[in-house]
Amino acid sequence: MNRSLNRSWLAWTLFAAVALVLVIGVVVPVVTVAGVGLSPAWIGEVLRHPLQRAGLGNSFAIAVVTTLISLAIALPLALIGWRLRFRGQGVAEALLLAPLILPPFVGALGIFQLLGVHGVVNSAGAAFGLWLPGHGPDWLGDHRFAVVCVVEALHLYPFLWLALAAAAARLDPGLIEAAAASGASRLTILRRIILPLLKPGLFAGVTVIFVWSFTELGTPLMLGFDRVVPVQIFNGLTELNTNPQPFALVVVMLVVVAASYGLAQLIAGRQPDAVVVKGAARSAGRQVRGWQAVLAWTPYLLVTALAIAPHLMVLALACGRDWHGTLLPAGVTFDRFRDALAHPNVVPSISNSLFYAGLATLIALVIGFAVAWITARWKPRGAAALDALAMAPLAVPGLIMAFGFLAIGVWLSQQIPALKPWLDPFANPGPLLIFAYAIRRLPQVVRATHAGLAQSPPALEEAAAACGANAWTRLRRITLPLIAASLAAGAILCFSFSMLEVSDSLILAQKRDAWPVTKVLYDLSSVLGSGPAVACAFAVWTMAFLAASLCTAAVLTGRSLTGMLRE
Amino acid sequence: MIGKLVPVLVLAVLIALPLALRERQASASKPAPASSSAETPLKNQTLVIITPHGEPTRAEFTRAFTAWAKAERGVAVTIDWRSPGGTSDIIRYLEDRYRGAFAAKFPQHAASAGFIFGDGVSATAPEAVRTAANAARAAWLASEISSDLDLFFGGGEFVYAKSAQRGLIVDAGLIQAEPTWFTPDIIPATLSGETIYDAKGRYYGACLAVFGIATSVDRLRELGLEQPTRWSDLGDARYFRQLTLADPTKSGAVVTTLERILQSHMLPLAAGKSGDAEKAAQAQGWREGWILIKRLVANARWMTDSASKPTRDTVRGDCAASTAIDYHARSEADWAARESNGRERLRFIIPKQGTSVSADPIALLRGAPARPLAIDFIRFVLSPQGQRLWGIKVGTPQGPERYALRRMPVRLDFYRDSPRDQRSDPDDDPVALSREFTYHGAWTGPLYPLIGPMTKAIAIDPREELQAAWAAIIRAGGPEKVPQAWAEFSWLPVEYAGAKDARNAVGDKDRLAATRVLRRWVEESIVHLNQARVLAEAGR
Amino acid sequence: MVPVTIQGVSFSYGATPVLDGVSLDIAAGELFFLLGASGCGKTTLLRLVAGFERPDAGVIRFGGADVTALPTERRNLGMVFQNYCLWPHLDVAGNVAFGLEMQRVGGSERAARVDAALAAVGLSGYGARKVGELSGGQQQRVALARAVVTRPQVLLLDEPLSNLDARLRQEMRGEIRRICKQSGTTAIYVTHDQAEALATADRLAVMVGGRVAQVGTPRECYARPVDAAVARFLGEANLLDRAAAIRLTGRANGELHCLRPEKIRLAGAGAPSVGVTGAPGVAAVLIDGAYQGDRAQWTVDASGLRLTVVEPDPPERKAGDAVTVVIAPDDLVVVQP
Repeated sequence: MNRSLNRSWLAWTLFAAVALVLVIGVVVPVVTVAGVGLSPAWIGEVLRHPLQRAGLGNSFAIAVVTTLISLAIALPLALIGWRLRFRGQGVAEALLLAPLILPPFVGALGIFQLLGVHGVVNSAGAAFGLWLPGHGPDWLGDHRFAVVCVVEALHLYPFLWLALAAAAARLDPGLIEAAAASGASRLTILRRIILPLLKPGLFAGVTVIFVWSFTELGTPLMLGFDRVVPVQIFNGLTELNTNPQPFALVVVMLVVVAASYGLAQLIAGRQPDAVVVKGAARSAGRQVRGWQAVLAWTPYLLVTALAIAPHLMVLALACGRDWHGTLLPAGVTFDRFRDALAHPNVVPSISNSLFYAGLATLIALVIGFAVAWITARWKPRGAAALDALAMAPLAVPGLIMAFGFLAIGVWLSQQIPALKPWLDPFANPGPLLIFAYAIRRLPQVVRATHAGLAQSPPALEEAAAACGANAWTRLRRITLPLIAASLAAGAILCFSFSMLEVSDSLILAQKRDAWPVTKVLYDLSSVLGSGPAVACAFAVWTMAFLAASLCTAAVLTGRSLTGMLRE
Repeated sequence: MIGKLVPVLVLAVLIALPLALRERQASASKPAPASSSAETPLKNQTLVIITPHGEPTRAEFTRAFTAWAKAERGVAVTIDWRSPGGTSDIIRYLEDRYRGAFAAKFPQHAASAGFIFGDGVSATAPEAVRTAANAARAAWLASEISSDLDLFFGGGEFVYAKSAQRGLIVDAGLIQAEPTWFTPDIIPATLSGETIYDAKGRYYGACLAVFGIATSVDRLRELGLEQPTRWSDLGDARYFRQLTLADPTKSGAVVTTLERILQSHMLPLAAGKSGDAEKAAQAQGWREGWILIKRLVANARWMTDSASKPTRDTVRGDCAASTAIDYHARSEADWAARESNGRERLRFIIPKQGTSVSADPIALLRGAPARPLAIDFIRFVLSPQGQRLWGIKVGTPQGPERYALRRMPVRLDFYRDSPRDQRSDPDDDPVALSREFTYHGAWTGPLYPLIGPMTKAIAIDPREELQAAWAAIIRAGGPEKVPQAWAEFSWLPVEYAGAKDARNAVGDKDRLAATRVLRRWVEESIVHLNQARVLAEAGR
Repeated sequence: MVPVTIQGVSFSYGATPVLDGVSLDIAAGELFFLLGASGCGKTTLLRLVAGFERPDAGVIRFGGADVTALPTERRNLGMVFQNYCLWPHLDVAGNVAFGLEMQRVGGSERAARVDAALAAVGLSGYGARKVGELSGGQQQRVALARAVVTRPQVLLLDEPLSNLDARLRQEMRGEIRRICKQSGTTAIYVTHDQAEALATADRLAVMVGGRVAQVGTPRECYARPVDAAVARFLGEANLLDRAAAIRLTGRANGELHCLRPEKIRLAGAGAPSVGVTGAPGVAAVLIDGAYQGDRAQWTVDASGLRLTVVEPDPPERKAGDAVTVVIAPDDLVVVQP
């Protein structure tokens, strides 16, 4: 199909349209924000400032430690899941994904309740006589760095685990058997066969975790660790005096991120297209039962317990009363749930979020499919650049893009007053939010669709052409049905995470009746008094909603939960 | 098969719940049906108010004012509250909108739109630029350009003063319309040295705020500490890592608090002096105030980005004390006590001779689309009826219906006329407080823009070094035991005499130059603090 | 049914040339084979005829119409792929009916034609089956039914049998030929299997290195290969230069000759001449051989020349036996080097 489209103006128009959208959605916001800081004088200033340098150092340290912890969690779990089969394995693996549904802000509330001086951990220690009540370690005061790394690792490990599990699933068990037949021990096989074969998936996952933990804002901000680059940028941007300094810091951070990805590409090499597996893939797993199965379950339960501790805290905060200095709350009440769900901001925010997330998913699917088709099927010159552009939102911190969109929206609505009701975030943040969500989730949709297309032989489309189907019919009747499962997976990921989107929601949603769910959570958790408890109650609803929608998606696409998210 | 349906059912239930609850809530609070006589449909009007106030204040004033407007003006009012964040966000937002609207309306001045608020033209700019800037500013001040917003409600007095000078807010004419209100007995022009309403009527204090200390009853008990009574108590070694403070570069309230701390040191020293002696006393007070500020930051567990987080920490017992605004701390204490079956968890303390009474104003924005209604709102807020909402208990007739706002009304006749048992804080007495502490605006008012950046540069940014030095000094037995170390610890980049220049340097239009100044302060602080630590460890 | 004309077609993948000035005339209703080793360009040529790629130079015509620039879906083709390429999300009937849907054939007629097509390939009643439930052979038949149900003007087959086992391949060969002849469609069939081509084709083209080496009927190509490459491709061939030819038969017709193994007669040692040809025999020694049941394939050494000989209904021989090799000079076909 390649050459016959070479001269097709329709295809090139599509390419141009997609490129334009991506430039507007990705390049322009970043350039708008970074452009201010792109002066050598400012960058020099930033690099000379002892605080900024310390921030860079800390960010690196956090990224390295978090990545190592995530690896320590994810790799053994991925290998166990690949090598063994046991009852309830699907459930065990689904539990690992719990961090994905933890809404922002309230997680921090849970951490404070857990690790505060009078929190659950210290109360437990006092109950066991480890220390006097109120004199337990000040986890958040004295060990902040460690807490930040652990919290981030527990938040990010699912992504690494998904990537590793997917890579492991592509391993041919015959290779392991051949090595065993040659007399290699288990450890040797792990070291010399499995890990090297996993290298591409490993590198891809590790790089993403490294960059995300380097650019993560929420956790260090909530826990008060401000000598890191993202918090310094955030502080600079929200300072009372406007100052180009944080923008210069943004440029430095973007350079570091780009260098990390570039280095990773260099070391790991380009990841090859997914190989079409002819016939049924033989599973490498061997069945275990009885006490061995229990042993197999243990790491899953352990990790899940740690990972959902914040969720449980949130639930407890929502229903608990009088919980101060004790292990458990003294009383239970469900009033907060009623308060939360009947709150005048809540119902509109739910319908807002559903609307924004839904429309954004549609847009992301269209753009994402176009990009995936261009890079997986057509492959013209410049396809790689288009792909990189579509994946860029993974690398750019949310805050930057949000500010960029804000600036663009305000500027455009001032230049062209006719567009004001559509683009002014203070009059109507909806369109900007929808576009921002779609761009933000584009990488996941592109990867999911790309994988689907790569696994679907183009010859099937050629066969349809030979039967007389034109391009549009081929798309409709053959391509889309064949990749429907991949599209559904991408759509669900896009939808669910758009519901939890933080930076865009905070910065763009300025009009109260246009607030999405996350903005309401932020607002509620900042209110004094019962605000945090009500926010937790609302968060419980959000978690239940997300869990239910992910399960529904799994049911609809006929795949397991992890199978669906694994791309 | 059934198992597969479960998630879908759960989803449906989850979506239905809030809708169902909302319906019940709405019907429960629906007003009584209209009387049988034919009612002329009410005219609808919208009022757009930008505010940092939280939900309780917004809810109560919405309810009360809409009822008032319906009864007195026959208008069905909808209030559109805009809350982009704190006052700094609000100012930024307003200036952006006004500037854009100005450039659109006066294209001939568009190039000078950056100067309309009075920001100075750079000294090196040519004369033509200066003239154009002046013309633009004149055009701006004479215009009725609208930001599509009507009112600015809530925030610090300093912010309002600045906004008035920049032209964002305009005279609502209330001083002329209600002359009996604006007397020293009812709404004084100044109180404890602070401006309560603008002489030109551009802003009016709607209620009063006091800055003080929020303490955790449990934590103090665990640490064996007495309740602090003055600001300087918090600088004590025993509070090491037991405070939580908010970053002054993020919160105007904290800057105000720090300014009061500085003045509370200058006041007693300068009392009764004049001329050079007064200047020397002010300089000494300046020094001591800043040293205390450094000790506070050194005693902090962490620095938060919003002014409400320290209070949250305190009520949780994660820290022993924090700075707080009165109403924040009080409503938090109330809630905590309710949750803990009446046990007191948080106590708010007004430091002796440590704080003035500040105004929390309301103002009419330039070009307000619903100007008459907006003025009505301001009048309502300042009226006895509106003022009761601030300080009356929930459920009391003509008081708030759902939330106790726990704020001090600005009308002094409230304190005289309202029965004690109706008031949510009957012990509040702004007049008494004003006698204890007088704020001298001239002393540190102009230095306001310096305080935040300087705190950041000499204390917050080098916090690790600051705490290490302070810890070493404490271990060595205290400042008296290691005077040399203490001298290094107490280093300041700026004395009172040079403060104005420092403020200009830090506020320089050339942000690069300003950043360089701050960076130098940070670097020098680190050097001095490291030296302090070394000296303390050596016993000197 | 239309004739297919390929004129001067050239094609390169990037910088690599694949086809160089290929011209072919395929008659209407003909079952035409493109035969060659992998990499010779036969599949590429087929894909150009199908319209999946555009040639860099040259013209392709269906009948009189120039279809070079016409998109695939408008060429009214039927195509059978090496990997069947049945759509997994449609059932068997859905797969077969797809082309009819594209032609906007009405529901009842469509169903009837689908049934007829399935019956023609021997899969009556399989309409509701899922593709994944079928065996390889069954899938290939469905693919065939799908290709012919639309009554295409040209039928293209891309190594359709290479994924099947030997017995099935033979069966299907006959089926395909029958179906093609029944519908009278012009068919172009690509394969690397020379036995398949020789057995099934009306005419074939042997392709070597992106060019057409020889076009002709199977008999013509086999008996009179145009050059050494074609000769070697279409079965075993003994290549003899002038001197060798003279040594063996006393005559040489050209510089290089091709001698088919089955043309060489073996007689016992010392036989002066054999049979009708009256050709003189040459003494030889049996070097090696393989008994294959109905025949045997021997390697013999005749005065220093290694020859491959195929003997039907072979008597018992063993390595080292002395034999006489008899070759009729007319059996030496002159070929290009």
